[in-house]
Amino acid sequence: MKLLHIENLTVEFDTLTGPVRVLDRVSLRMEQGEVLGIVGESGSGKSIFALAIMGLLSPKARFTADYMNVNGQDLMKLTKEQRQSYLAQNVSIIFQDPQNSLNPCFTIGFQLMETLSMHGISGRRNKKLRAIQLLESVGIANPESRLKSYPHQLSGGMNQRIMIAIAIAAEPKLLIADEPTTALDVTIQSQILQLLLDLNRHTETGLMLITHDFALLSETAQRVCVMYSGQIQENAPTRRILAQPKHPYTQALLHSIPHIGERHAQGERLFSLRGSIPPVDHLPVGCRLGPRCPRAAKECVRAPRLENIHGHGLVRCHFPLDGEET
Amino acid sequence: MNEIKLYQETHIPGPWEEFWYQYKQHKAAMVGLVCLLIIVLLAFIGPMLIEHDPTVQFSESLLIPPAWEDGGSRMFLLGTDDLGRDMLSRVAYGSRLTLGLAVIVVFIATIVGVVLGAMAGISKGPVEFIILRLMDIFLAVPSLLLAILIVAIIGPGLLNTIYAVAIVLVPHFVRIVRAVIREELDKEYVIAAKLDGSSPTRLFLISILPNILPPLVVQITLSFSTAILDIAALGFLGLGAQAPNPEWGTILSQSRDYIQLAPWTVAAPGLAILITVLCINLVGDGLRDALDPRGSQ
Amino acid sequence: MLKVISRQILVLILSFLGITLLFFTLTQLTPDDSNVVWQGHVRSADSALAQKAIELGVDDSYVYQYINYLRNILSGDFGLSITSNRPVLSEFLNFIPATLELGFFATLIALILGIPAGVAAATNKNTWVDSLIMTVTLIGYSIPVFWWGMLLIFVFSLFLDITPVAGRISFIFDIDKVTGFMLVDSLLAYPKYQLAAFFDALKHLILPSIVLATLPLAVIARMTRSAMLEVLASEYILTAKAKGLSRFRIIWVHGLRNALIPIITVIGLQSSILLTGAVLTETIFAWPGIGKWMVEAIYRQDYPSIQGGILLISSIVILINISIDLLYAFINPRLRKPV
Repeated sequence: MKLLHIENLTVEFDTLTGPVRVLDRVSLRMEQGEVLGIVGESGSGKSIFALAIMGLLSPKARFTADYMNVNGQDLMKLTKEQRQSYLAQNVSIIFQDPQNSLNPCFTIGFQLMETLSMHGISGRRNKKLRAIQLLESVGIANPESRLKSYPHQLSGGMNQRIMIAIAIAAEPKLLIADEPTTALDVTIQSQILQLLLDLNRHTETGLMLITHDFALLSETAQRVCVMYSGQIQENAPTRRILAQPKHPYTQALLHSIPHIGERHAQGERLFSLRGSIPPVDHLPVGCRLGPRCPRAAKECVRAPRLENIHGHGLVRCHFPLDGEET
Repeated sequence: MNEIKLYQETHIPGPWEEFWYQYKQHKAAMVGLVCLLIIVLLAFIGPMLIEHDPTVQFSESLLIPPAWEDGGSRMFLLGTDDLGRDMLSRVAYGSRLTLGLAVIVVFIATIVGVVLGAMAGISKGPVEFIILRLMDIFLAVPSLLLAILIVAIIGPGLLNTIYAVAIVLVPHFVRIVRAVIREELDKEYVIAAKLDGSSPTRLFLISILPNILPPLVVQITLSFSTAILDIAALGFLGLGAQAPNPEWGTILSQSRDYIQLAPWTVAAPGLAILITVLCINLVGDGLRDALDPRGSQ
Repeated sequence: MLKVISRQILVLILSFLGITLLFFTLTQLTPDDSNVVWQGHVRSADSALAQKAIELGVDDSYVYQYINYLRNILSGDFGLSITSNRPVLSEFLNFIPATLELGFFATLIALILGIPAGVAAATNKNTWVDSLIMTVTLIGYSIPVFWWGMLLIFVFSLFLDITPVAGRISFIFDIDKVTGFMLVDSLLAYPKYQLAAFFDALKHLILPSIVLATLPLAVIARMTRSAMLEVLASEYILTAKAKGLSRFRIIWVHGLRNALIPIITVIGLQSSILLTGAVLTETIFAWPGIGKWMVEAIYRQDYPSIQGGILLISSIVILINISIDLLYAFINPRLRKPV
């Protein structure tokens, strides 16, 4: 049984100039307990994707999918209320900014125990014991006194740990982490990441790690899914992508990571793509990377399809790289 | 998604165009604007079209109901009051008086408020302290009581109403202007302009003033409705415009005793105030939404 | 927090000084025996002090006179009312319960209807519910209070004849003044009139409370709406939704608890608006409170009453502001000290 199986997920918004498609027929599968990385620039649609799975899009968004199977249940067949409660039982999400994702007016304990009572734990004492246990498991010292703290009294790293504690309180099958470390200090980042990976290992929780930072995924994710302009551009096992990216955009992302200790010749430029990600209401014709792609050719005005390359994975490009010309 | 859009060719609206575009989205605000323009136009040309003078008393036609009622006369479309004066003419002339007073009041309050607010915002220390505490005092006294107090000191009358209501409005302007200036002064573009060697005057005019405008415009609009309501309230209490003057509040205070006998003498001026203030508030809401980038997105 | 309250106390002291100084200056500017006109009676009782002042040669100095004048006020002596010839303070205490009673019910109406209306408008944004609430509240804050009162009197008292036109209670009831609050006093008179007096007092209270509540209600409803919209768009609401909490709990617990912080501030500002409205409402309904008392004091040029009344009223406004600031600190955990 697949943990996640999505076919042709499309999200559109109505704007003053007409409908805008921010996610274009995204299809994705995840195995039980897998760590999947989703990488892309801001505006690539990766956060919308996470919100769409969770059913948290604003009511203005138009949302369609052929098939959206989470842990063996097709969400498209459920009513809105059924879907929301099914998701709450099976999927948890943590966001980029822990200071804003906790309610500033309630204590940590209140917010944690509230989730616990949603999942069949009753009685004040039971809930409190479980809450302390959860805080311990995410590495928080003095858990008992922390229960009485308000979010603003704690650091960002602490709050993100608490968000994780709230997320795993539901004992989910899938944990979506949307840029979980972006707002944190570098030293805290690796701690939080380590915590997420430990959870994944010990509880068999599938982890979807959404980030703009390829370096973060190279050692953590089993598979990486590269998004650009609301489309998946490449979807393949991490080691294959690291060994040889097939999509020019993936290659550009990998090249733009500065490597510590690597010496650059004086005057050498760091690699970067020309221009910037196109606004969703002014997408280029054909391949969406087209105008920025160093390898663009005449054919690229025809939109490429996501195709399987044997021994690699899925790639959306007319001219996949094969390692010779680099 | 069929048509091809090249974003280099897209027309990017300027601030005024953007503002007007946002404002037009707000249907109620557009209705308010149109009605307000009609009201202003009527205040200008209305009295020219009306045959009766607002103070002439037709002693044979006292308390005549409006023309569409039984016993109404086509001579007096909205009927007459207890002294036989034409209600339509009184309300029409009253619009000049009330709107005109409000314009003067808001004008004075804006000038004084912006100057004091700018002084408080730019200077730190005793000047700011004195201005702010003075405004705190004014804000601590309920607005109408403050106006009453001022009228009590300088005596009732049309001119004194202007001072009283203007003084009531000033603290709000001072607070807004000072707050915006303070907020802007801390921003990096202002520091950049300072480092470039702008003089304080230039800094104020070029960097800060444009940022005050949006909240100021909204405050001016809201002050208009407050001014009209306060002027009318003072008139109603007999402390503002005096008896023969057809100020809307003053008319209401006179017709109050005839509410059962001649409800039209109460209805007409009251509706006039309500509709005018309603339109101004609609315009104010629209302006706020159109000028506030957070609200419009 | 302490800073906010000390600022308010400073405002209290400063406005006290400011208003007294204003009146004092006017006293000096008035040519005739101004002390009589403004302060109600000439102060010469403190003869030992006056003697000393003459010795020091400061009896004429304004500073001395001002300080003397302040001493009187601080000891609760605001002079005598010119019209009733009674001390201004006791006049004030005589009239204030009626206003407090009216203000209390108006605030109650404004809160009980205003907050749910704002929440309903926010959660049904851009639907007919929202448009209806926004339209009604817009009319609510555009309508002239005195005309609105006249309208209600016309419809309910004169036309339908279900509410009394004016006053606090019918003349047939002879209620002893105990607390000054008519609802309480009429209940205290229970054996005499059973509950008839109480219901009569309640009937008298309905229209004035509605009229006085209208403006604050509109302001609170609109403020609640915009505060709720802002809160509902925040990330912690997404978290709450992701947790699978019920819509009711998200809106009324997670949403409203945060929206209350800005709402409390607005409620605090209503005290001043309410007192302004009270002046007009009390005039229309012949409600014997401080608003009506102030207006009549002006008609009769009773300056000691005007002066004392305004000083006391602004003190009340500032005291309400201080308590709202305390409430604000209580309701906003972010103002609490870090542990």
